[in-house]
Amino acid sequence: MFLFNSLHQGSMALKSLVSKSRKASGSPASSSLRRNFARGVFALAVIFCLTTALLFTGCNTDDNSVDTGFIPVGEWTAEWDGYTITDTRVEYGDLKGDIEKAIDFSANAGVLIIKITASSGDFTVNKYTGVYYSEYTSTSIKLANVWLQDSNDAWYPLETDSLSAAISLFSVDNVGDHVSYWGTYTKE
Amino acid sequence: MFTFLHKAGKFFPVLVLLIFSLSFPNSANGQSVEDDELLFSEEEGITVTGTKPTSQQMSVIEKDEIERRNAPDVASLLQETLGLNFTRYGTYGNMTLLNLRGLDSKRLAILIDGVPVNSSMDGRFDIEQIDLNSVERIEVIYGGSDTKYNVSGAMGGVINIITVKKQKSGLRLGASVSNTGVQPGEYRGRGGLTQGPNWEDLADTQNIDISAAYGGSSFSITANAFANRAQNHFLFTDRYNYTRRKDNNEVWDAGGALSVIGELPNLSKLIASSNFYYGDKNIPNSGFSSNVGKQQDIVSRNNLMLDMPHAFRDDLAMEATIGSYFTRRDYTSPADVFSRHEQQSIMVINRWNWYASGQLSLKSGFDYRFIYLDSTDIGNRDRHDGGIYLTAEIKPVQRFMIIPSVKAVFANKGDTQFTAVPKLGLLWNVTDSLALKNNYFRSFKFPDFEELYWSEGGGTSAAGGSVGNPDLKPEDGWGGDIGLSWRFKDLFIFECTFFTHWLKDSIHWYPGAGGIWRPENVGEAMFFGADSKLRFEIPVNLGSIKKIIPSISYQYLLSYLLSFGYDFADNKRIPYSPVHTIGGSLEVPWESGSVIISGHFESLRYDDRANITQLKPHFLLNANVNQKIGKNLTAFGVLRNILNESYQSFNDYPMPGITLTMGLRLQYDTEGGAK
Repeated sequence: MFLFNSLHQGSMALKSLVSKSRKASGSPASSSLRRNFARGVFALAVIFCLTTALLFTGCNTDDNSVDTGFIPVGEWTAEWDGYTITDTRVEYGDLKGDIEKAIDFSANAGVLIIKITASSGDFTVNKYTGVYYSEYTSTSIKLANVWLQDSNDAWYPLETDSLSAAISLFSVDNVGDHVSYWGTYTKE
Repeated sequence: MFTFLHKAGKFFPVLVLLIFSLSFPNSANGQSVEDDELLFSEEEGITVTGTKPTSQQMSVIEKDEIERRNAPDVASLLQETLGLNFTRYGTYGNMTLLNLRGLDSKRLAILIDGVPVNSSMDGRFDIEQIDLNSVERIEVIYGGSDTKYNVSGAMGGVINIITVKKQKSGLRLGASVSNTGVQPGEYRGRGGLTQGPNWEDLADTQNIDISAAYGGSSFSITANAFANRAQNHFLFTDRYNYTRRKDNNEVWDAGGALSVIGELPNLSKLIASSNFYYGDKNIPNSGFSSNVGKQQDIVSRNNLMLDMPHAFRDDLAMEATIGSYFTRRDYTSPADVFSRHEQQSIMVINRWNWYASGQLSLKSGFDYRFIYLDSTDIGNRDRHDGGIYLTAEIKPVQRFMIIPSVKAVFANKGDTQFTAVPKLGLLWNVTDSLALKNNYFRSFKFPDFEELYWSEGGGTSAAGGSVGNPDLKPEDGWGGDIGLSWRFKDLFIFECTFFTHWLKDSIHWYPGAGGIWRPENVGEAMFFGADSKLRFEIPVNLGSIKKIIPSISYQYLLSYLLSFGYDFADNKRIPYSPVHTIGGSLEVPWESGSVIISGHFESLRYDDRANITQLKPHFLLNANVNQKIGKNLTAFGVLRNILNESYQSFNDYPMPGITLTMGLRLQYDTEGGAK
């Protein structure tokens, strides 16, 4: 949204400048015309630099911002369980968390990194975990939490202490190690 | 709807039999049928179960075709020759589940030399453990309650793999070596960097096989041994459209087989056979995973069979088998959790045939099995199971045969349960070239140990794990088929069978309270289908090419899931059951070799009961060349998946693109001794 606003404002400034330049072109004094032209070029260059800077700063926002473009929002249910996903939250049974980052791996797949806000025991509140999704359509999706097995045959959730660690852990190259079973869900 | 069908089903076979019988002439007016057509062939090695006319749909693959096809395993052979479906969790050495008329491996009876080998633990048989070089012949019988071998648990059909054969006189030595390579290329590695190409993938899989056979005046002996190294590396496209390289799926296996046939008086034979298998496998999780389990398999089978075509009387034949079967599977999970499943069983089979008259023969016998299982996840368990049967082959008129059969099957798990499994078969040889076949049957299967007694330790998506259910009922169902077989001289064979099958109480695992997975008798399903095969032998005169052999097969399978809240109106397919399966091949043989071009198409399949996850249709095109070099040597080459189709046999378990197998086969044959 911030990036879009910056571009929109930049475009309005350019329109205003062109309009001023057209008015100036009616003046008989060629030096004035050259000055106006030079100012115009300078202003354009400034706007270009500002826009470019804003573009990059827009992309490099801090890790705490949520990209909502790739969140599969909906009530997703299967035969025996279900996920509730909003723009900001994921709920799966007693696991609840705020979405801190949504990363897309392809047009219909990605991971939601959540900060755990509630859990009855398996997950740790205030840690980060990932909810992978794939084969996302308007009516169905595959979802998977990350459970791993320890050498005592017990299953435990994969969590990290920081968001940056979660972003690096829950990646497209690790999903094969994290998910051995995808649940299939349909939209309510 | 189904209550009505169920009730009507009891009378339906009688009604159809009546209509069918009325439609027959009282005496055949076509050409006469040879009197011995209904007798058993004494040269088939196994007298009682030798090839004979049957009311059942049946296909046979002989040794020479097995050799010509150069298939890497039994499943690939069955797919390329008969167009069967299977689902597999990877390439060579990985779990492969056959599928017949929509029913999976758990519901098929797999036999080796007539002896059932399905695991008592999970009901399956690891067909990937069979070395094709040791196979003489494969018989596939479609439909439930087979009346040829009369073994228990054959809900969807029987696959009998015959390894024993009486050898002709003299000594024969054989050997074969082959290499299978896959296409190397660049791919995205686990760190996200571009890697490859890995040129060693050109030498991905190697097979070596040696065999020796000797036929004497009163005995014959056959021995063979094999070893395989399969890296199972190949490039595939993952679910995010990245090219990856499959790894962590290496397989080493080896085995051997020995059989001795001793001639006894009165055409009787004593057959001793033994085989052994060892496999060491890396089993990765699905997709592109570096989580890999380690699996070791040890299997040993030993059978002793007495085959008497004339047992005490000329009109009485008898076959008695005693066998032992040992399997051990050690599995260490990716998290280093070790489990062992050791299974020992002793089996006794006795089959009798009495040729009472030209119009009647009676078959009777029993199979009995004692199983002992020692499993990390199931504990120490034992069970007796088997059944007794009586089958009549009644020939009221010359060309018509009625085959009623009933089998009482039992399984003892504290209390012995006997259940009657009836079948009625009708065979009408309309002419020498045209036969009509019709069957009605009940299908029945007891739960396996895993379903009954599995304890905590499995685990799925949730943390709950899984437990068996000792209160499970057997799976049950009814089915029928009607088909024709038309052979016109040697020019063509056309076979077409329509079938239907209703299953109830099928066992499925699903999670209950606390996320614990547990099996229940909740499944109900209906299958309708048609299976057609057309094969030509067209004589030509193109130099050394004297004939060309085109063939095509088509299976239509409409499956309906009728449980989990679904009915016919929901139109939900059974997972992994394609509606359309098409196979075809063109074989051009010449004096010293052959070329076979074959294709296999499967339409859309689903991975789940709700039919949400789709496995896209795929078409595999293969080309196979054999050429004799000199008297004893044959060179062969096979291109598989020539179109480099990206596909999955089982969801999230990709299969390789184009592969090339090249090899040499040596056969040395002394011509000594009387034939």
